[in-house]
Amino acid sequence: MKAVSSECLSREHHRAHAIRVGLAEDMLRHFTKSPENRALKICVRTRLSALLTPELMALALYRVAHFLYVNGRWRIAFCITWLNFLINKVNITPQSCIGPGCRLAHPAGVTFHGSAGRGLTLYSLAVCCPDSSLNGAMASAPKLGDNVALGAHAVVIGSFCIGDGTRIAQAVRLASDAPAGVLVVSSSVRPRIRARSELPGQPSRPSGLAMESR
Amino acid sequence: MGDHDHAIAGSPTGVTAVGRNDRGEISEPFVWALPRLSWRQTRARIRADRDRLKSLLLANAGFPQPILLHPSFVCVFLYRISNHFFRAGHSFLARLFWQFNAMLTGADISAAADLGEGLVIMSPAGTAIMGTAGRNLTVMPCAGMGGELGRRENVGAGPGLPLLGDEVILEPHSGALGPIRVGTGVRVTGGVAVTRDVPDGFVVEGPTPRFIPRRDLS
Repeated sequence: MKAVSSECLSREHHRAHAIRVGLAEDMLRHFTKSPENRALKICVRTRLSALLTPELMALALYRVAHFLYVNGRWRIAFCITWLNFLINKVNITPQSCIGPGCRLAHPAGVTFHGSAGRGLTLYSLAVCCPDSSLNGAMASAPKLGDNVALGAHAVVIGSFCIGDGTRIAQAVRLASDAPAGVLVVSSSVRPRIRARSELPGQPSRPSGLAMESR
Repeated sequence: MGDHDHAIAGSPTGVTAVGRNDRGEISEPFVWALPRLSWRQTRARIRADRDRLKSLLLANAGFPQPILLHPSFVCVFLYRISNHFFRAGHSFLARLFWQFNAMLTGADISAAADLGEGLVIMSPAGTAIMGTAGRNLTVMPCAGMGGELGRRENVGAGPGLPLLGDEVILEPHSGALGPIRVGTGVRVTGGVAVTRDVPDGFVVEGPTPRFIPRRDLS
């Protein structure tokens, strides 16, 4: 059996009911994310409909792959991960240990390899991976606490710990530990907006000819 | 990323690209004259890519993984096939494999890109690559390289395209844009778009993040 983190065992991810519990909380999060979803009458049809959204389909496939990986069926686990990548273009490795109540706002392009507690939120194109290799050992992967949110295009790279309730703003690259309950923002200055005519050698209006020449 | 504002057509001597600048003028035709590769050479490159990926995964994970199912291998394999056909002048087949790669893995790697052996693309979805790179290029999720609007100088990789040395690492959401030279062993950290030349062995770093206490929690 491959190395399985103690977190997975303590959360009983090797038991089949962990898939059901995890998915139930993921679905609950899906149904409470907006007033429109909260207004839905929850029945078998709406549950099935929710399960076929890319968000929940990606999470369901990940949870099955993780369950198989923890139980030593790592070849099938990697096959399911590949299927998940093929269908949803989301790359959540089977070694990753994600608690229940996860939300993937837009799965395509999201990459996750690490461990996270309950209520993880990953916005579009968020990346969380160890340094230099995506499939690195879990010891070198980031560890996220409960209710952590990664904004769009945010990057967490390296074996660092992020405290509970921390939110990482969009387009931030975090390569250090972050305490609990903080908002991590980029220290760069705000983008400056200028008219194109102010730039040297630029036309005053976009010509649009580049599109025609494709 | 990815310089696609040009039309590519097959020709007996190579592949000709004609582009337009921002003023709408047709630029001088550029002939992509990449040397042909035999199937043996293409297979050798694929083998080198597979071996590098395997060693990288084995060193980090400590156990072998099914390489043939790894998105990086599938993506690089399809790129190598499309590049082989491109070099042989079969632009239709090259385009076909290019599109199939984009459809299957979500990576847009141009058939005209000249990437050395040992290429690893960790998570191909959202990756766009066009230009020239040396051996052992590592592309992490959502990173890429290609042209930048309004700059069409040729530094040796084609008009407006970057030229990367050996052992370059592009971290997540980073990019090498425009006609620039990036030296050997350079690491571009996450979220940084390099638009200038970088000497050998340098690390290009972005801004450090700041921590602000969350008021909604207190």
